[in-house]
Amino acid sequence: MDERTEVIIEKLKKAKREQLKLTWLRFKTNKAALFSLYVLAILIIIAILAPYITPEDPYAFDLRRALEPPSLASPFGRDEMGRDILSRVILGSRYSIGVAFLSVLIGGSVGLVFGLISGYYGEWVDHIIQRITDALLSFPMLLLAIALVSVLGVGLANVAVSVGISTIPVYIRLTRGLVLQVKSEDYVIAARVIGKKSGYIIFRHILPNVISPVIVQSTYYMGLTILIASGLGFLGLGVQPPTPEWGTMIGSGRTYLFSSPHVVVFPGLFILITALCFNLVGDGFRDALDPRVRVLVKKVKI
Amino acid sequence: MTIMSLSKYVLMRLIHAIPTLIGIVLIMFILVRVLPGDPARLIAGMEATEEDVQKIREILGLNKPLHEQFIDYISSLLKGDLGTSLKFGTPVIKEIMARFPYTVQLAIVAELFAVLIGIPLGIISAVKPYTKSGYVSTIISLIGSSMPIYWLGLMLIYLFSVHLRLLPSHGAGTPRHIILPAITLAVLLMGNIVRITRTAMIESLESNYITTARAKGLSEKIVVYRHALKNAAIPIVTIMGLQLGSLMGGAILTESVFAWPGLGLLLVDSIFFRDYPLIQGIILFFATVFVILNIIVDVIYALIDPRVRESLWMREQRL
Repeated sequence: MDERTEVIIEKLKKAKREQLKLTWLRFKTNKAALFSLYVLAILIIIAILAPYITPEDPYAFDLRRALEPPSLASPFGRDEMGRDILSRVILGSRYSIGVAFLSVLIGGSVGLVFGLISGYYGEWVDHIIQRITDALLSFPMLLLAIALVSVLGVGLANVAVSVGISTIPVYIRLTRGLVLQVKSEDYVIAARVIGKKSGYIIFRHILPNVISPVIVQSTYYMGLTILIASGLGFLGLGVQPPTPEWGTMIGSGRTYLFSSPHVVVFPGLFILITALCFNLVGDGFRDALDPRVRVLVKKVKI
Repeated sequence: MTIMSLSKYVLMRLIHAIPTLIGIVLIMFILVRVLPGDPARLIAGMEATEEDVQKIREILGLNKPLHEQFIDYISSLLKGDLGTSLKFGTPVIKEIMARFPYTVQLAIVAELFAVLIGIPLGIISAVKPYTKSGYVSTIISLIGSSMPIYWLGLMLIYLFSVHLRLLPSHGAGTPRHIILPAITLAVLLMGNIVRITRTAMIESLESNYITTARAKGLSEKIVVYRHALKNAAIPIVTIMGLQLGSLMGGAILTESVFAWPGLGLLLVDSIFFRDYPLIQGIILFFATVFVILNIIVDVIYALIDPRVRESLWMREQRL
């Protein structure tokens, strides 16, 4: 490599860093998004440290203290088994945020791969993948997740897989759209002309250019999958009791709603706050994106 | 586009729906038979003997080779036969038809609430932007996409049934029974309606024909409600069509909260009972209704707006 090439490469790298900085600056101007990002950071730290910071054992029951309302000793009150709800909500963050994270990881990576293939190779490969995507998209997302759970069975891993699969079609559409935009860029054509293999082109030239919108889409999906996974938990089709997933806690506490609403109030508040923060951060990231790709990122709902 | 090409468009849409419907059937088929789960074992329970499980496989036809099963499945579907419910012993289609009207009722009333509250809010926040009402629309829209509606439903029950004793907490029968479930479901829909109404109204209010209307000396009320709203109607109808999925997903959760005897509640119950023919039937039914409704919505836009009509037409041509 001669000196000139090195200078150019250095310049390009610098431009890339500048762009990243610019994106962050643009994100920072959205105060609500920035604040939500901090809240999420705290929630994630709580989820990671959960087993060490619960004031009491989240599984230790004491029937004499069942359904005790909130007090100084247990700020969120106690549930039908006399377990400390604060401790359960803290540990529950692990399961609720964790399941959402897992399912977004599964859905995002599978969707990304098929979207890349569909967009890059085109023709009949694209056609087949797109028809399957059409069929998957004709299931409302919660319905597809329920259909999958009804076959795979309940429990943490199955819920993560089911919810993850139901997010795949939107990721395929997004990635494919992005690939089609990038495919005709000069650098991709140049790489093809000098005889680079398809796999190399996809990984080195296309993937880096489609990844950020996919991550933004994932931020939205984190908010949605928390709602869907906890919804499944509420229906009794998700994470099973006594595991303190937030939706599961609401599902088993709803029987006591009439006398002791605190059993369902607090887990629900945490679902709401977490989903809200992911959506606000998603909005912030989305607005910081290049307008050309921004339109492809979809706001998602149940 | 003439009437002729419109009917051609409808026909095209229907033809394009066929591969999608086949895809749905295929997915349902694969779900039950190819995935690692064993429905027969799930139905029989973990304690059942291998013989019992085998017997259930035979009843469900799961012991035959895959291609035969597929042919059986398709041919009975074409006859409109979705199988027999294991729990009720009645044809699945009969159970579905008994419950479907309740879901439709809930969906319509919820959509009505969402529109009746959402559109005025959207208009207010468009007419008076940068005031508190502008923020209200943003907040409602955010709540719509972040609210665990089953939790909201429980909170409403606590407030209106337990605390104020105003409304029944569950079941169906009187018009009063539908109020809480419909509000719960409406919250899911309202966010988008407010947001889109606001955007569409702002765009509409900035356009030339509004300036003309104002220049003619028409009162602000007539300008806003007669001229601007009319032109904002199309995106609003569009968003209502796009929300059909949310409506169905939301109905499953809402019906479960309020014991509303619709298809969603039946689906959840049948999963607990491992009533596979019923589960499959309901999911297939929901997905088919979804596809058909989407076609109807598209055709309605095509009728309302010549611009939409052209672009839909172009989209179909490209497919």
